[in-house]
Amino acid sequence: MTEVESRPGARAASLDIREALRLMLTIRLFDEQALSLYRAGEMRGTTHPYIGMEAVGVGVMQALRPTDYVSSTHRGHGHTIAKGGDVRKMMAELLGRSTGYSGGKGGSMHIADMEKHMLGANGIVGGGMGLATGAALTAKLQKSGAVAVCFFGDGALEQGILHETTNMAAIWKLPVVYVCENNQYAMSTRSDWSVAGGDPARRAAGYGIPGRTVDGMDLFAVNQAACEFVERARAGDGPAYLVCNTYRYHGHHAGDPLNYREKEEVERWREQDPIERVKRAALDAGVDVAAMEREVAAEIEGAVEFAKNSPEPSVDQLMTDIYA
Amino acid sequence: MPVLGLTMEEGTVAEWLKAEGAMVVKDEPLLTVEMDKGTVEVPSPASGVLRRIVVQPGTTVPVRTLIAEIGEPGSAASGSGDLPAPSRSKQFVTPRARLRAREMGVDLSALRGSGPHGRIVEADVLAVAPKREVAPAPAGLSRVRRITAERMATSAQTTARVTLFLEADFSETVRFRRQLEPEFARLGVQKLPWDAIIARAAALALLEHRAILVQWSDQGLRQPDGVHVGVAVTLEPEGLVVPVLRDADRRSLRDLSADLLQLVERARSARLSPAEMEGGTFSITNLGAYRVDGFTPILNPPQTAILGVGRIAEKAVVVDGTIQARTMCTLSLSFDHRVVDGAPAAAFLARLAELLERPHALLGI
Amino acid sequence: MTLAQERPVTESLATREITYAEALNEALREEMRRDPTVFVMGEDVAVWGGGGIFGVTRGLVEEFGTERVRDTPISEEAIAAVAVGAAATGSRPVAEIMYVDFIGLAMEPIVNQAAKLRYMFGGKARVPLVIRAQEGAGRGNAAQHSQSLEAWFCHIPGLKVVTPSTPADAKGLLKSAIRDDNPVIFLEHKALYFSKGHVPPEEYTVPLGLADVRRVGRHVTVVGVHTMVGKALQAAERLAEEGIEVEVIDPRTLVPLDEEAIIESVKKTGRLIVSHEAYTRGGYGAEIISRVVEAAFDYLDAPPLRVCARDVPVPYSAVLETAALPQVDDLVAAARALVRNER
Repeated sequence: MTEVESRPGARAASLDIREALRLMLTIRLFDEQALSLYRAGEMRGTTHPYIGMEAVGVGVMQALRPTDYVSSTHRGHGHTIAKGGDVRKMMAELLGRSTGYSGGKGGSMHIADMEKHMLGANGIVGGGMGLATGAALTAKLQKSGAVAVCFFGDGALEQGILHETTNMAAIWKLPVVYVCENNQYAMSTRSDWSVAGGDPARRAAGYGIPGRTVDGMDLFAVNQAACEFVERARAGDGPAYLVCNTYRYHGHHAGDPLNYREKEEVERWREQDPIERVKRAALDAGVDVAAMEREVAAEIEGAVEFAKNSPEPSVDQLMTDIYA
Repeated sequence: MPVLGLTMEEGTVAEWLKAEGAMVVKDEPLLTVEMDKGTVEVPSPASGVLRRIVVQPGTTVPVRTLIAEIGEPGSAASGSGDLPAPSRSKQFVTPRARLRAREMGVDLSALRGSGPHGRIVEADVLAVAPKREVAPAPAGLSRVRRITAERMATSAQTTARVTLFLEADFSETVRFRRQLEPEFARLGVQKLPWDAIIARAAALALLEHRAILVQWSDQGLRQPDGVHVGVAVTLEPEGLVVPVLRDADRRSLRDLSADLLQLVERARSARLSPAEMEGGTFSITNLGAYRVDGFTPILNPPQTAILGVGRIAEKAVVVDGTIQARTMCTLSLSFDHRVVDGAPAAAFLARLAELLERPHALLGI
Repeated sequence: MTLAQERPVTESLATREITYAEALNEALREEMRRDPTVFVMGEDVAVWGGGGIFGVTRGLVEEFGTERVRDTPISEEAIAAVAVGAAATGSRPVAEIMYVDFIGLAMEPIVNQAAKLRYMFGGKARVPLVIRAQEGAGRGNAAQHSQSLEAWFCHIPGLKVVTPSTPADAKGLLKSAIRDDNPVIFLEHKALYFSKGHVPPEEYTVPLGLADVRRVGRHVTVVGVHTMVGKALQAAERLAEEGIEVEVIDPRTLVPLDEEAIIESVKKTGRLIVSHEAYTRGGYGAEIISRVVEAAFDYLDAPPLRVCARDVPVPYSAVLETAALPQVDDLVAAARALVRNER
């Protein structure tokens, strides 16, 4: 069993398998539960499941320190859990309860854990780019040694803000890593159609920064690349693009009719399921995977219980928290 | 509003070049109209009299809207166009004017407004509101309270009130009254009210001190006819009325007593006529039923003086060098110093006290 | 309840007169000295012309260095977005958008992120951000460089909106805005940068949300924004000769609005004019009037009026630009018409 903490400057290729698997299982079970709640009509609005993409969130997060910052997308449950978020508060927020992360005021798309420097899921495509780049600016100004990671989807590759923040980060050498979770589709639009010039990682060269594409279904590949770019940023060498090719097994959002994808394609990606691969490695390292699966399942069940038994927010909370 | 351009949909009346009632000649410039393309002169479409201007300068209307009427000389303007005539079915009143009218008790329906379309504005209300020297009463007061408040405030603010206090020895008068009451009862007057005694005494004293009756008016001082003494009566649940004992100097004590008893009864059952409350030239107000001795009654305009009567009670008094228990009563005379000076007022009060202390003179002239 | 006349007016016995731009410069300098987390970013703020196109940031890079006084590329969205991210993580950025007309590009981070993070995260986030921009017409800068767009921001819950019209207010309010823990849109006016006024030499701030009664009068209340405050004061001088007394109020902060001051004034005068250089339609004047009508309906003796810019892109020609914008004559005519019961 190998457990290595990320050290400054270290190009750590090994990571905490047990912790990584636990997080990936938690993410998957959480989002499966969220989908259930949605189908049962117990959740308002919608939710965006991360199922299939766990290796990206966990692989990157395992390269970070607790004081590093992360900005997220509308598909934010995986990032929150990987950053150490509390599944009970998350589930309560999905059900709009006062015990949720945002007191019920945000819902699935606005879950944040500011204390853990997780700057929130975001409902605007590209909305997290300024947040992560700004966090990196704070880190530079205050010389805190922190790094910021900006998660975004292939759909955000064409938002102007990506160009603007990448450019700004490059000229100022800000400690930020832009991680593109390329799950091949922006809602129903294929990224190989909407992204001009082929491989998006090549755009990095235009800014004079490194760019790399990795297999997003491979936790270790993601983690290795992330460690390299994060430590480079921490050392003051500026931003980088990391493109992770991955896949979401379910729709863009709960209730997506998925009439834009072929079943065969989904099957092909499932064959490379990231969790299965990590389970094999974990078993090899002596982890009791079955027991872990049971623990995680119990934890998620407990979270649902907690959420369902929590009170709704009271109406006198409507106009609070608008201003500091 | 004429169609002055191919794409014109509306126009703004800029200026009327002719006034209502003026003669106009066809094609003569009648008004200017502002459009997107600038301001344009509009010629009169007909000759005649400009009977009525319907749309005022600064107003924008769609094309083909009636903006004025030109008629044959001698013809009358047609009925209401776009704008309603003032003080007809709908009266325009600004909220502030309405508020002011409510406060000041002004009847809006009788007003002409000086605002657009005959709108009544605050200034119109202020122009007709009675001149008051007091602030308007707040909302929520009963009519009685409001009227009392207004009268009291006006009096307090316009007269130069001074009050003199005198302790009179009522020991004799008490005995006098006790002896007389059964006699009165046999003559059909059930009671001998204290106020009748005091009114009679005041009337006789006033004959000798007519200056106390002189009244202040805008035209100067005036001496009213007659000695008519008002007696304040407290009503339930609230209110004060002052029925008047007319010619109290010429009537017997028995007569005054009978009269007063009836007036009080009618007052309490709200059957007093206005005539019974008018014309007083002096007033009495009696708080003797309570533990009050002296007080400073507010004058009852236009009267120049008012007498407050306190309780009749035993007190320790020095008589001929020794302390005795005597039945005393404090008399409080308020007077208007604009009309009467202190000395004459004091002289009157002293004479009044004298008459009350030796009451046999009260029985008749 | 404080009478409008009793409110503190930012005048000082000191005879120090400086320009609006210099006053803003002082505010930035003082706050950057006071708090090391305060920093400035924007286009051409560090080096160009000695500190910004109007000199507001003059001398700052020399004192505080290029880390804390940052020139940015022309990237309005990123300027705002990065400022939001920095503010949410422990900095106090003062970001500049060179002309308010460019702020359309930055609306996403301002409206969807800065204004909402705190609420969406249940009170767990704090965005102590100032975005400065300058508004205004009258200089022949034409349609895309002459607007007043404060109404856009007044509409968004979670933002504060400040519009100083004097040097003293500019300095005091900018200091307060920087110290405020909320996102503040701080709108200056290009025609006011070189106007001079008394500014106290000692340390002071002007609180947000407090109006200033610039002139006391009995007959009509005029609420003015930016340059319209000065024009209202000029109109008041002219009207005083006719016996018409105008009360001029500068709200100074539009959100949160000092409604009480305006309402008290209208209860006294019964007549209201709101005047801003922003277009009439959907301008903030409509909001002010609506609130006054709701709160003080019974005290109105005439319809409330707006004397604002015509609903037209600001034209280039001097004749047309003057006609498009509200002028002293327009205020005089409006006040006169109200007092004479012609409107």
